[in-house]
Amino acid sequence: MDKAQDLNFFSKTLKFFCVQFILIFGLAQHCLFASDSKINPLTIPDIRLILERGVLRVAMHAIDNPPFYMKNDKGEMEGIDVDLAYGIGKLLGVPIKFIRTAPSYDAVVEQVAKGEADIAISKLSITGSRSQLVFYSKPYFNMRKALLMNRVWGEKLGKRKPLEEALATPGAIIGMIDNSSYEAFAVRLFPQTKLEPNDSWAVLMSQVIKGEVAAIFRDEFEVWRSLFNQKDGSIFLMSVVLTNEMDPLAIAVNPKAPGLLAAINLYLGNFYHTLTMNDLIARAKNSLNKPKVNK
Amino acid sequence: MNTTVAVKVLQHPVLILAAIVGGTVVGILCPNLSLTLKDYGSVFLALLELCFIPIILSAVAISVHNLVASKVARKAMGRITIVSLAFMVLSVLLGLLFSYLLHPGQGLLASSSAKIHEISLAASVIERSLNQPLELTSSQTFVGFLLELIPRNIFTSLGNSKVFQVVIFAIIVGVTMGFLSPEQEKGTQKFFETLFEIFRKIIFAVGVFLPIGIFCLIAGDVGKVGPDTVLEMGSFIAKVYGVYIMCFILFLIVIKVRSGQSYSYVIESLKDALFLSFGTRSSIVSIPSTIAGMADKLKFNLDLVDLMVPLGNIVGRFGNMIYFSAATIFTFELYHMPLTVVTILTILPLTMLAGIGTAGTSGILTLTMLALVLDIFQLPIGAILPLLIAVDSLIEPMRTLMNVFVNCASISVICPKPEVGKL
Repeated sequence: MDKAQDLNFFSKTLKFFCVQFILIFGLAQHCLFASDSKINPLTIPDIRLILERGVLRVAMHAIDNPPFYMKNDKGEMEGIDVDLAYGIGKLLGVPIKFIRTAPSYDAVVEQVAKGEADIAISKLSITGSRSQLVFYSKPYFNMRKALLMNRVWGEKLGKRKPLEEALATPGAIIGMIDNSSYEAFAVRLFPQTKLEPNDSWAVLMSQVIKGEVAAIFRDEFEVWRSLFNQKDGSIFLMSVVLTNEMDPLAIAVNPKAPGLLAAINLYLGNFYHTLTMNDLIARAKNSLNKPKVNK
Repeated sequence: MNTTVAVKVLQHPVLILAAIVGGTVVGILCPNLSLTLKDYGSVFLALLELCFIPIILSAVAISVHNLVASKVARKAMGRITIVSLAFMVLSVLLGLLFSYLLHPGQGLLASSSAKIHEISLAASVIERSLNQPLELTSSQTFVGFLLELIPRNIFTSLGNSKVFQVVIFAIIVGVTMGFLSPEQEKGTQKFFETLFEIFRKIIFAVGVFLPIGIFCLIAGDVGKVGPDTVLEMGSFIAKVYGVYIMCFILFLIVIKVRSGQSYSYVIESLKDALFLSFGTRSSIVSIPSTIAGMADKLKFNLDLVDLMVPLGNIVGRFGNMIYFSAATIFTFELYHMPLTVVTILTILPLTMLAGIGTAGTSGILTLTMLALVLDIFQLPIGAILPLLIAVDSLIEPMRTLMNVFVNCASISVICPKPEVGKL
């Protein structure tokens, strides 16, 4: 079914792309048929570089992060981010080369900024500092920020007070990963709450279960997954998704490739089927990272 | 002749027990069939529900009128209050004690089942903006609670089955009846007695199908809850039943001693009421058969029985108090909160209040009253409630049965010991 859909999708992609680009720019036709004809000399220079190289270099974090990107049993790459990379590759008519060496999200972005990769699709949040290094595409997945809150703390802080007021109670601590985008978000959102960053999410999890911190702060999907993987987690913890606080995922694009950025935005706007949180959860449940509770 | 034999066969305890067991088995083995059965069970239940409001109205009005009119009942007022309160305290304490011994909560958590995980996970994700509180529904104020008790428009209250409001209305009517001219008083009394009799007969007629009704309803509930959940949470369900059965035995001894009859005769006398309340989860439906069992068979004072059975069955809610105690113990253990004399003294009145607050409610609404107890201790109810709700249709029959049974025990203490003639 996936393949048939892909084909159908691809043919639609072709049609739409032809009409738009031939009529408006009149130059990208060759990109689509790059394999069976010469590269049109009028191609936007940065796209032309990629076509001449014959491969699109996509940077991803070194450690698998299902269902976004992971290796399956056969050693093939798969996941939501991987599908997206292949979609863009098809659009340009070039194969994908995944670069999986970066040990951190900032390092993934730096690979793109240095030109070692053309784009990065790696569950990347948009942050101010990163946006000074690379272009960001428009969001391909709209996540929200979430607090993984200790239930007993939730009662203690006052469940009938507005959340921001309750969290400002002296003694309440919010944890988050050190030097992550969420540390910056927390400084802005919870200016009166004591923040305690930690390098390890596992340590943060044990702190919030024991009630050493009132809540820990991350995107709604990671929070959901932590609850899902933690046996009896929902007895002690709950996820409070902050409805107005978005954490959109976007593709980082080499700043020297504005043409590529435009093509990717066109792809996302017209051909990409935007996923919902439920899609993500369904894929996560099926992904390689089987939760311990099922055993 | 043949019909009476048929009725006897249909109401035989063995057949009813067989219906309970059969329903459970069918519910586990063929969930799809059981859902169809549930619809038929609903027809049975709907026929009984038809009697709710008229029975409450007439039974309470008559009993309050008797209280005002009869000297025996008026004299017993103090005793009624003290014994009722004592039985509430006793129910809560026994619930706490037996739950402390059996640890029903461990049964809920011991299994690392995917189903329980799924239920609690689904209830553990909420969406809020930063200027919203965690709990959106504002808690009820005391004035609001009082306002809710008053039947502003009695026809709306009757039409919407607002049980508490109907009870208040019936009390007002019952008291007012005492101030009518003797002729009017007699006429009104006759009217309510006739009304009660009509619906008593209807309940009796529908009650003939009790085994079939129980079979369908239990199969439907087990099927709806799902065989997975039933099996995975079986230990919890069994332990709650264990707590109830221990309480049942103690209160059975009370009734036996007070009535001066044998155990088997006590059970035989009350079996209709017990089966009906278990099968229909309604203590209201079982009012007529409870009165019959207590007054006609166990020979307790008719005036007092007439007064206390409707009031106790509607407001007493002893079984709910036992359940709340069990759930409170469970929550305390879960969040490592120590049980001290002070906490027990705090739990006691709150659990009683929460129990009374469930008058006229059923199912999930009953369970939310648990928040009244846990709020004081700042214990979260959010994680436990979905699990309790998931299995509640299997707990509720027993809870209702205990509401009725403990009420019988309290009445047996309120009434003077009957003179037992040799049989």
